[in-house]
Amino acid sequence: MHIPDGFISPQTYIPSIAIGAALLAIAYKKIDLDAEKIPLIAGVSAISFVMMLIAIPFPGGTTMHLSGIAIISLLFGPWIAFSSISLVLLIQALLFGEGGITSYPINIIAMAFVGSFSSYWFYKLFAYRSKNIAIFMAGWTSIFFPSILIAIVLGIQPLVASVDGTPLYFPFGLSVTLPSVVIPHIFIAIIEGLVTLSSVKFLRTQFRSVFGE
Amino acid sequence: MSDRAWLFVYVAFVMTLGFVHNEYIMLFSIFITMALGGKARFKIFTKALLVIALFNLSISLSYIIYSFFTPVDIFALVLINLRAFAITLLTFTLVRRINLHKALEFSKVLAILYGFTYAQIILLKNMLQSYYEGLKSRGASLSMKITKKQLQPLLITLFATMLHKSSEQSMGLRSRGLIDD
Repeated sequence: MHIPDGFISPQTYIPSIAIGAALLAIAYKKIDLDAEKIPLIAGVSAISFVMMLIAIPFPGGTTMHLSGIAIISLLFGPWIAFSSISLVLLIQALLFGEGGITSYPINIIAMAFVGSFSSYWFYKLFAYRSKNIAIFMAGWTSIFFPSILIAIVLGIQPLVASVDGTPLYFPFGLSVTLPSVVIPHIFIAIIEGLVTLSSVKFLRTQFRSVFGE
Repeated sequence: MSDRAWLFVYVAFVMTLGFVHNEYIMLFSIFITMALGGKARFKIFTKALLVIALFNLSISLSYIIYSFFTPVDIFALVLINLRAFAITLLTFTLVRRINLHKALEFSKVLAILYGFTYAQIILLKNMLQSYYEGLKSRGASLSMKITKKQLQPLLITLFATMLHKSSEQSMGLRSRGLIDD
């Protein structure tokens, strides 16, 4: 889902830098970084990085990767999830070329912020009905909503930056990006929801003293 | 020039490249970046090429197919691909040439966060690798029925290690007085 470098216009990434920086500043203020929280965020970031490396086989010979955003958000809270996943996205962009530097603020707003908070709020919304449905929905929304935002950001590029109809950045409009990005992610999100359900329930049982509600 | 200065030059240059719409300037910046790459320049070049290949190829091919049905300027792809490559090449060259930890030392918290995260990533990544090798040596692999028998023991090991390591690092920070609580 990461947007790489070169496809996003400055008209989009400059305001995103401001929004992303403001959100990170709020996050670090909310978390109140101390000698306990700094190693915890580092550890959670590492866990989320490694979870993204776990490839789950898919019918047809392909694989999908966990995002782990909802797992982290439900276990540690949305602000810790947001800051940890932002850190992971930075390391991925700098060291592995997954996602770009110019697109980094958009990736953190979509994947880290929208992913963490949508999963947290959907969990809260459904928790009074059924914990299982709530955890599944948290996993599902952590993929679905970021994919919509990513599709919109990509799809508006020809509108905000083109010369005589020739695109300067991502060349396809919303009519292409919305279905091509969002529809596959509806199904990927179902797998993420199931894995989130299984993992969160299991981890809450195994580490009751740490993650127990 | 210090690592921190290089990082700021890099950020400024990347942001500027976003505004450039000239193929020759992009090519020039690629040549300059390669010159800065030292002996590893071809290794970095190949890595950057491989990293952008999948996404850029799929977008470029789709756009070429799209051009059969709608009159569009497919040469726009040259600029888009060159820009993507120039920025990625620049990123990998920077990471190769500087010590990122030192470059981030303008913020003590950021430098510690980066150092701890990187250390834990290496630790957990090696554990995951060992897990895969263990599966392979037993003639098994991750299957669709991943949840109970495979994912859960893996997660418990990763989370237990992470929590243990975090508490160890926290004690280390306190004992050295690096962070004032």
